[in-house]
Amino acid sequence: MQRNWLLACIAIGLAGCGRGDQRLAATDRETRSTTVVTSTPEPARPPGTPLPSDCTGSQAAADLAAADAPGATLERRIASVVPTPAEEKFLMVPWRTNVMAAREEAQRAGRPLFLWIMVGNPQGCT
Amino acid sequence: MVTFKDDGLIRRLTSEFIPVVANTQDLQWHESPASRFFLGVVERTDSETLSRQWRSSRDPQGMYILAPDGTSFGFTNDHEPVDIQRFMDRGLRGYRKTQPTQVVIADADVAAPWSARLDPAGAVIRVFSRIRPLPVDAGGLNRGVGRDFLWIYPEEIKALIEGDSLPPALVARIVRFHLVDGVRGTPTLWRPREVRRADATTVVTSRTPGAKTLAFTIGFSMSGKRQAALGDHEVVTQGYRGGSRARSRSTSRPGSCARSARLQMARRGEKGTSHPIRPPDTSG
Repeated sequence: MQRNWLLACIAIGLAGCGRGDQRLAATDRETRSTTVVTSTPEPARPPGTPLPSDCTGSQAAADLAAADAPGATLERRIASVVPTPAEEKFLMVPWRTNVMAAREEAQRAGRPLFLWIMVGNPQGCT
Repeated sequence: MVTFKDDGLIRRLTSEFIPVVANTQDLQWHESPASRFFLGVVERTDSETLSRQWRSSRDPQGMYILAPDGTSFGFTNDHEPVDIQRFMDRGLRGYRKTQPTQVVIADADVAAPWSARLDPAGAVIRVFSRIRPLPVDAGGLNRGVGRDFLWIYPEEIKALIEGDSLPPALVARIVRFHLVDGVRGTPTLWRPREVRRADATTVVTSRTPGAKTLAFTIGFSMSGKRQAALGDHEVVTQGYRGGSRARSRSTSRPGSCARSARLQMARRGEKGTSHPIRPPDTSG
């Protein structure tokens, strides 16, 4: 790992990519977190719906090699960090974010819930 | 994200289950009807793996199959698609064998806040990180992409639009919470006292009616010796230093700067290391 670059690309804010369910925002006050306010369940993405175009990072795969070339531009380096379409495929699952609403929906549909919980919202995949 | 790249799993999640994602920060540490429901599920789930996680670090991370009434049909923290397929099969068998109790969920419980949400006048920026260039022999998580979100608060957006510099609190959050190694799992965030330098210079590169583009550079230096065991890796972080460059285009429409691309680059400190934990010596 030594002498390698860890690139962090702060990319584009995306509607439809988990925006409404971001993980708790930390502030620069060490022990405080922000207000808890949300009441609207995220709409589920219907199965098979293509990802939003700005969610696919389609430039990324093509630019990976070029980004490492000497003198690569800032833009190329950005493109090399953005996830490839394959890496964004998990967003094709119509994940619900409101557990209580999902319980109601599961009861109506006669299906079990599949709950995936992580430290940090899985849609951010921290 | 190896698990949910699998087409078979995506199909099954979509057609046989109601898939839900959640954050332990919300359902474990914040009081809400959803967190009470979830913690009850953790208590009722019969799983050796979950019990071990919970005993050692109160960690409920993983995947659960549940009935709407909270009956649990299993837990896994495996990630290989084939294992998840088996987990789904077992869970569905359990679900079909039982007659879950019909539950009435109060509208107030459905509507109750369960997660932090940014004021709509703010902006959420997706943050990605990778190891570049990737060593040829790198494998596993080293090949992955780190994901996070950066929130920009409404007052900071206002400051970006009205002023010509990055708000200090935003710089502080970028440095402490986003210049971290999020590629290989949950990162360790920088403590305030570990930040030796965090300053930003900003240049307005263009100004048109209703829009302004800023280029900014952040100089940073963080150091602190910490050691953390993460799974089968031990991470020793000693420091990062370097510069971040970025461009931001903001317009007078609140929240619209979230649509601009930004970049930051961090040079990993040369003393930073990440290596597998040596297995226990059993030779005698």
